[in-house]
Amino acid sequence: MLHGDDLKLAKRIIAHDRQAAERFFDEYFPRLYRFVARRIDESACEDIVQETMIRALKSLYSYRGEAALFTWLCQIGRHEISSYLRRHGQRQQLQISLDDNPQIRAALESIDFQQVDTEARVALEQIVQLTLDYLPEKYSRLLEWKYLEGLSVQEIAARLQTGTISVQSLLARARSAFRDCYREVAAELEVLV
Amino acid sequence: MNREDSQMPDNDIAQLLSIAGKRDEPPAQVQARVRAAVMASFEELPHPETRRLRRFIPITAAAAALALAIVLLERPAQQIPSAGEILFSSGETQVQNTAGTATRVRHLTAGSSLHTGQDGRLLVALGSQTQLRADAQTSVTVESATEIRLHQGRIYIDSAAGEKLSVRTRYGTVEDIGTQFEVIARDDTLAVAVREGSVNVSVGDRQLSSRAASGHGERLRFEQTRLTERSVLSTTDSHWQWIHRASPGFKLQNHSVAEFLDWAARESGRTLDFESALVRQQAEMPAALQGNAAVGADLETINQVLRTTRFEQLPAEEHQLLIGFRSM
Repeated sequence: MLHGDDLKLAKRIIAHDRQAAERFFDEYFPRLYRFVARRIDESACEDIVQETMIRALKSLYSYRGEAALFTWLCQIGRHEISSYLRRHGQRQQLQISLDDNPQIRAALESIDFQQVDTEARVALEQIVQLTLDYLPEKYSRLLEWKYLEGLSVQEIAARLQTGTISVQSLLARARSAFRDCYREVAAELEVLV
Repeated sequence: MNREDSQMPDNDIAQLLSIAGKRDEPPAQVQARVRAAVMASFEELPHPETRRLRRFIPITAAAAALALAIVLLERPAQQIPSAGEILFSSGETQVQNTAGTATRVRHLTAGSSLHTGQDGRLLVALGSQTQLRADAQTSVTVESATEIRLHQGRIYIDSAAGEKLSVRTRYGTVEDIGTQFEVIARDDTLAVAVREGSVNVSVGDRQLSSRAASGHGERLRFEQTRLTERSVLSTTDSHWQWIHRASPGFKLQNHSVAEFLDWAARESGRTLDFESALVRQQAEMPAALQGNAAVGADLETINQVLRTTRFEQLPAEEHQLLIGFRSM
């Protein structure tokens, strides 16, 4: 699947469009920061995220849109984490090894949220937040407005300055994307650790 | 409900999200620092034209000739007096000098023409303290460091006191002495917006003076030579937003807080005030800001930068930037 919107953004940045560069930062910095913070001591996050974003900017010409831009950024982020750990003489071990935990595996396989215990619940928090970070930001924001802030479709429409039908359609796509992405993230856990 | 909905229905998504809660936001100070570094790095990226040239130069003789032409164009004119210098460009831009046409020219001579495409923007230094910004789809001739001819599009002038500048258009001339203003020339329309100071506008036989004061600027609009609108325009109105896209931002490294605030206030159409002489004195301490950063002038960025210092923005009118010591 080609990630057309991400590719367009990359091309605009390569063409030296400052607005596009700002959008790239605003959209991806918080998600990348959380991605790194989940894996390494927070005191090292700033340097790693900064290095990752700068390296990504310089390498954007090599981005072909075959993976989502965020996934591509995460690959660079992983590399930077490894480099950081090597430079600091630490063993390359991520702080979070989600799928080492059998309870988490169980939680992933059976989404019975009333029954999961505290440990699995914490892991689920991480997985859901990871899922939200992997989604296009417009979908994540929409789902948070709807399900965390409890905004009605009308209120979201007012916030987005659009119609309710358009919001309902966006919400349906966001839910569908969440479901797909949730599964992808669960599969990704195999790769992350 | 489709098959997927039955696997994870709406209320389960709601439940999942409520378990997870809101995502953590990175610390604002970290965000400000990283943003500054990333945007500075972006500014240092080679422009696409440069990249293309690098690719072609070794390949063909024609490209070599083009490269030579560009080198000649970029070299400061020694015999011809300089009329200006390009400080920043983005998107599609073209400069026509006496020596020819190129996309990457830095020094301008009298008669240089500037053209911006659909996404192109330029920032040009004229004289010692005057800057011209050209928005997208604009054509301008720099007759001299003090005379501009606007053929089409939109420009913004920021000139210091003592530097007189005139902008000629098809239907009239705008003259200023130390101010900030915008001129738009499109087909049969001439529009002038004043953000600071005052300008004289000559259209047909008519002469008008337009000025800005206390956060209130003014907008004049002419259809050919007929005045069709005269209205108030706030100095912080979103109308002025485009000028930020024609600027590389402010590099913080080794600047004082006062220098940054002075720039940010001017860029954002605000007046800068300090709560006391002591605050001003402390803000003027040299080289207080660090980081190889270029930042913007919006309030959020100003506050992000201030959060790395002992100062903060105090409540004030919209057109004021009032600075005091941060309360503990």
